[in-house]
Parts: sequence; C-alpha cells; structure tokens
Amino acid sequence: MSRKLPAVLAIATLLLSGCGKIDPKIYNQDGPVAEGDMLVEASGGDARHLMPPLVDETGGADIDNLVFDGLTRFDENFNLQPCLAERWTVSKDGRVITYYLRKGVKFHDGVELTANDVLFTYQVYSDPTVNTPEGEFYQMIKSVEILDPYIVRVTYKKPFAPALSLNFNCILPEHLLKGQDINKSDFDRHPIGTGPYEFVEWKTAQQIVLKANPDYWGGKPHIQRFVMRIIPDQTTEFLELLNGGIDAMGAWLHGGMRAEQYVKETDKPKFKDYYNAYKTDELSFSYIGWNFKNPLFQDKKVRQALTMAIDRQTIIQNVSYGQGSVCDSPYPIHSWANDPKDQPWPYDPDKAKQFLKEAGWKPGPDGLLHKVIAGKDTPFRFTMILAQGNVSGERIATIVQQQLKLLGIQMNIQLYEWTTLLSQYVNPRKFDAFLGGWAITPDPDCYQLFHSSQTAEHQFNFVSYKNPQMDRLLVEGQQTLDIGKRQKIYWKIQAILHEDQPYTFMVVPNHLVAVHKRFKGYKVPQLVDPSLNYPQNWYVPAAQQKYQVQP
Amino acid sequence: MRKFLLRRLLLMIPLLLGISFISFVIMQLAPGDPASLNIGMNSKIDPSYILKLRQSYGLDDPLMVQYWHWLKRICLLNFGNTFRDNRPVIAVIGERLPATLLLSGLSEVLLFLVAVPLGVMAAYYHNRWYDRFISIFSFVGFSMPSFWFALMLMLLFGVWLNLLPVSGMTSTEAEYLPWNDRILDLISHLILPLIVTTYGGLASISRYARTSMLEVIRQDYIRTARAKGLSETQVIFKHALRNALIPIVTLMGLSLPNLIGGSFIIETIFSWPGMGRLGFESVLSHDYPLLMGIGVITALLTLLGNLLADLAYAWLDPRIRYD
Repeated sequence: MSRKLPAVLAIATLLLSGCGKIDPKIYNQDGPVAEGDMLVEASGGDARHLMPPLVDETGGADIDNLVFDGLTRFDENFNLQPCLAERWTVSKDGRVITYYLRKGVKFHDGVELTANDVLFTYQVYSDPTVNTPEGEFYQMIKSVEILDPYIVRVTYKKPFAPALSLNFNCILPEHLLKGQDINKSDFDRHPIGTGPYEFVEWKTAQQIVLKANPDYWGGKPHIQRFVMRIIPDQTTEFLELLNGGIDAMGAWLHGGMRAEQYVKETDKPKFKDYYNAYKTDELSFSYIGWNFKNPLFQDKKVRQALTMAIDRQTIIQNVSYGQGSVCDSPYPIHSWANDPKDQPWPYDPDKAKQFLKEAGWKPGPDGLLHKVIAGKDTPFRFTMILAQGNVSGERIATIVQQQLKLLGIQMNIQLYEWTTLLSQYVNPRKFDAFLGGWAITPDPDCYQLFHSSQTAEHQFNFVSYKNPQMDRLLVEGQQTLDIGKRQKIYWKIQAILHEDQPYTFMVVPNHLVAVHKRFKGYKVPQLVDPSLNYPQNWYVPAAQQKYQVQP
Repeated sequence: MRKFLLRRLLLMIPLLLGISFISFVIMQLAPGDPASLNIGMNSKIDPSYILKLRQSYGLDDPLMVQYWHWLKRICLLNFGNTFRDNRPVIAVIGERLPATLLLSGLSEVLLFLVAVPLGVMAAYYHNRWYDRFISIFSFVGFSMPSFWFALMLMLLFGVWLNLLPVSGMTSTEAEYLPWNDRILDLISHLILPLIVTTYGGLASISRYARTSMLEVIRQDYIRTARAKGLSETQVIFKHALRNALIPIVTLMGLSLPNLIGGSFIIETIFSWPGMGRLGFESVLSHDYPLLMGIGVITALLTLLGNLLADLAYAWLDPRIRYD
C-alpha cells in the first residue's frame, strides 16, 4: 500500500492546483496600464524558418512580424505609416524613394540600425542564390545608395507603387549576417531584429518564446512575454482556450476560431465569462477560376451566367455559418481600392438561363445544355478541381454542382492532394475550373493574377485571362503613386473584372478572434493582419495578471 | 549461436538496401512536388522560387542519380538535411525521439502490465462473467475512435473538472518551476495520452494472452501440477504463465518499431512533439530526406526487433535452438 503513496500525492497536488479560481467578474473591470503577464497563443503548424528572407508560411511570418520591423507599415485604414523610416519622399517620376531612418533604433543585441543595414537587406533579398520567395520585387530595384548613415535612396527601374509596402518589411542586421550563407545561417534558429519582441527560445514542434524589448523605439511593450504554442488540432486548440492553456486565438497570430466554434460556443458561460470574441475580415478570398483554354468558358456571357447561377449568400450561410461576405474584387473589402458602388452579380438563375441561351446553349435530349463548338455538338460538361482536405471547399463544390445542374450543366468534382493539384493540373493548365483561394496584401495590386504576361507555367494567371485594356490598367496601377489617381484605376479594373468574370469571386471569410478579457488596450482592427495590432499597446491591469514573469 | 547471429546481422545489409531503394522509388513515384508546397495561396510569391527550391533540393537530377547520392551519404551515416527547415535529418529525428519514446515506452509497459494479467484472468475464469466483462471492456476500447475518446477525456478532465492540462508535453512556464514540480508537470501531461493509447491497445494483447493461456491451461503438465497438490497461484503464475508468455514475447519484439514510430493521431490530438507527427507532416510536405531517414531507422528497428524476438524465443523455449 505504501508504494502507492507518491501517486496519490501527485494526484492530490494536481487537484489542489486546479482550485483557487478567481471570480471572472474581475476581468470586466478596467485598470491602469501595468507591466507584466504573458500572452499565449497557438499556431497549427510550427515555423519552418525565422530567417526573414527564407520564411514562406504564416507561423514564421507571424513571429518575424514581432521580432523585426520594416521601413513602413500599414495602419487600419490601409494607409502607409512610418516605421523604421521616419519619413520618405518619392521623386516626381515615381522611381526614386528616399527613406529617412529613425535615429537611435537598436537591434536586440544593442547595435544601432543604420542605412548599411537597409542596403544589406536589399543585397540579401536580391541575391539569386538566396532561397527567398520575395525576390521578385527586389529585382525591380536598380540601385540602393547610402546618402548619410540615416538616409537611403532606392531607385527602381520603373515606378512601382506597391514597393513601399512590399519591400523592406524586415530589416536585417548587417553586423551579424555579413559574409554568411543566408540559406544555412544559425540566425535562422535565433533571429535578432529591432521589433517590439525579442527572440528567447524555440522548442521545435512545441513552442516559440519571445520577450518584451525594453528599448523598443515605439514604446516598451507591457506584456512581458509572448508564447506561440504549436497545437496542430483546432478542436484541441479550442479546448486549450477553455482550459486556460492558451489566452487567445487569432490575435497576434493568423489562425483564429472556426465559424462553427464562433457561432455555437461563444455565448456559453465557460467562454463568455473569460473571453471576448470579435470578427474582422481575412486577407484572402476564395474563387472559381474558369480556364480560358477550354472553349466552354471563352464567352463572357457564359461566365456571367455561371456566376449568377451560384447562390453565394446561401453558400456562406450553409457552409460558413454566415461568417463571411460575398466579394466582387481581389482587394481587401474595406480598402480604398474597392468601388463602393460596385454590386456583385445577383443570384438569378432565370437570367443565367437567358444569358446561356443568348450564348447559343440549347437544351438537348439528355437534359444538358448543348452547343455546336468548332463543328462538334458539345454538351456543357466539365470538371472542377480543388484541394483535398479542405472540408468547406468540398461542401461549396457540392452546392455549386447542384445549382449548375438546375441549368442543365454537369459539373464533376475532383479532389487532389495540394501539391499534386498544383504540379499536375494547375501549373500545366490541365483543368476546366478550379476552386481555390488567394491570400492578398493590403495593397490592391493584382498584376500577377490577371496580366496577360503572367500566363507561363508557374506564373499565377493560370486561367490564361487576356484583356489588353486590363493589361494597361494593371501596369498603370503599379506605376501611379498618387492614391487618388490609383483609386480611379483600381475602380476601373474592378469594373472590367466584374464584366469579364475570369473568376467567379466567392467569399471573403471572417477572421474570428477570441482574446482573454484580462487583456486591454487594443483596438479591434478591420482586418486580420496581425501587424496591425500594435502589440506594444496591449496590457493587463496588475490585479488581473495571470503569470508572474521576470522581465 | 554466434554464427546464427552473424548470419542474421549480415543478412540485414541487403535487406536494408532493398527496403531503402523501394521506399525511395515509391516515394518519388507518388505525385506531388515538395517545392510547390507553400506557393499556392500567395500571388506575391516569386514564381522562380519553386525552381530555386527544386534545384537546392537536388530534385532536378534523374531518380537513380538522386538515389546514388543518397546512398553515398548514408554510408557515412549522413542522412542529409530536411527540406522543411534545412537542418540535419538526424538532429530533427533526435529532437522528436525522446518525446515519442517516453509516451510509447510507458504506454507499452503499461499495456503489458495491464493486458497480460487481464488476459490471464479471463482465461482462468473462462466463459464466466469476469471473462465476458473483460472482453466487452477491452473491445469497447478497441472499437472507440481514439481521437474521440481523447477529446472526451480532455473535455472532462481539462475543461469541466480543470484537473489536467489539455495537451502538450510541458506547461508554457515549466522552465521556471523547481525540478520536482517539473516532473509533476510532465506526469500531469502524460496521464491522458497514456490512458488513450493503453486503453486502445488493451484488446489485442489481452486476447493474445487469454488464448495462449487457455491453450496452456489444458496441457497435461498443468493437470500434473495440480495433481501434485500445488496451490492454484503456483500453478497459474509459475507453471502456466511462463509458457503462455512465449507468444507475447514475439509481440513485444514486433512492437519495437511502434516505440519510435509513435502515433500520428494521438500526437496530433495531444500536441505531443513526437515522431508520429513528424512522419505524417513529412509525408504531407514530401520531405524526402526526412522520410527516408525515418523509413530507414524504422526498418532497421523492425529487423532488430525480429532478431531480438527470435533470440528471446530460444532463451525461453528450450525446444528452439539456432545452430
């Protein structure tokens, strides 16, 4: 019997540790700004790299967003704000951008940031031997010159408006990386930047720990520590939230709650007493791309009819519990680039039928629509491909299949493993229709998706859409730096996309966030991008702090 | 005996070569492309990135050349670097192995400690209520989806009772605790996954134990032992159990690869940083060097496990001799 004692003791200790709960009402009170406490959040997958140029997934990008700073950043209204650059000027022809750096900014090792680091960052990103997914836009730079330790002049080969936000998002420390092989450097496992949080530790597949940077130029962050735990299963993640194992979902990291969890769980006391829930827009949209190489989709009347045949609002209601909005452009919904007068095509099966009739499609004896194409009687039959494992995608596909069937169109559904889908079907353009999604940037530039020069293998205009007017506008949009003029251009692009429907734009999903009530001081941003969260503003009043953290 | 051992060990070399070649070819025959994994969703990614990655992964060479490079490296015990984070395969596996060994080792021990007595008792009380109860109990565990059982336990002990952590191997703040609390912390994280893995495996082992015990218990020498007037405890645990355990030893030998393989489902649900997750993630991301590393090590352990089981056989059963 005595041998069993330690086990009994262990369980008793565990029992005790579960007790001593605080009354959750305290969290509803506000309190003065205080230092301390820790924010724990979860990511589905571990980071692969933390060396900024090598990062190609959200886990690493979210961490780097806290550890590094860029020269500029966006605010909630998609306007560029100063960051490491105090201000900048753009030459009349739009090709030369001069950045005036903030003085006294220090890397986490205490060395001051200067123009040399900006030049070095350019050299790394534009080096063809560095395995970076972000090389393309640095190739557009003709030269980077140091005018003064705090002034850098960047000259582009052509004016390129998105450059201000796409390039120089993570300034690298030259003194630590000079002469190193960027692909293999140890820096990848312990990065050093100028951001509000400093890297502490990375336990692979378990957690990445950051601590507040006391010398942060934008003000010392109040939350002393940030932990990204790796929790692969989303249901487990939600149980961890209810259990107190994590403090938030989708706040400083991508991720967030599932629509089902948001709708069904957030008004239960276990959640409501301890957590606030809010929603914003994801920086992404889903779409059906119609392959222009297939004669079925070459007529824009047909593509318009297909869009009107799909009831997108019902799809959002049934698949995403109403958590999303129908979209009609590849821009963020609240962006200045979005034309407020633009209305998505309505759900109108009768008009769709009429459009198809006008395009020459007539009902055949088999119940399908038929048309003579290139001398051959062709039934309206095609296959839509999508990635396996995307449950809501599979549901959307099934609904679309039913709705098209009502018009006499037979759509088959084919699921493929993600990389197979890309390498065997999308890249060689061997598909009819593709249900996919794009992650987008706050900048509305969509040259890669719709310009006719971007149709080669591995490029992203894989529907092979070609419209000379669109080509011209897309280039103009890139080369115009004046926001007012740019706005007009992107409204025109939107109108042409609306008319041409190379994609049936589907849904911008909602980003569903849960944050423990003890956290105060943050604003709910309009869209998900965690970089808009200003983590240095978050704090927990002293009486509500959960973790004792030594600074 | 020594000759037998040497022969078996030497035989493993061509076997391993064959296994590695077949795995290499099958892996590469599967459609998909490791380089385009992270391209899909973002239009601001440089399209030439895929080509750069393919080149740096060495995927542009013909298959046979790639295998030859791999083989040359492996002879120097160099498993190469992973695609995912460009670190040595051995280091990545070494990082995950302890977590899996801890969980599956403990659960294996627990499994045999619980299942064998259950099976033995079930055989002893053959066809009585106890036997039926054990059957039903263990088959419920066997048929229940482990992820569902795990979620129910998390909900009960983690969320409702708030007694145990939901997932992970340590608490986030574990490193600030004194060592004894850190051990308690680890134990509290181990309880739920251990229950799930052990309960799920109970049925098969206890059935084996039951069947083999039933066979032994009907043998003449058991009747002799009873006729001699030995106590029932002595008959069952000394005379019968010894012989009944022989098939179990084979099972233990064969379970050696499971020890390092880990379970993808359990490790994913419980956010356990082990080999099962690593293996599954590397399949999904077509991480060939990592997959080959895991494959070769698992194959080696399977072969060693077989050998150990054979040796244990000879040791336990005097009828078997390898000369």
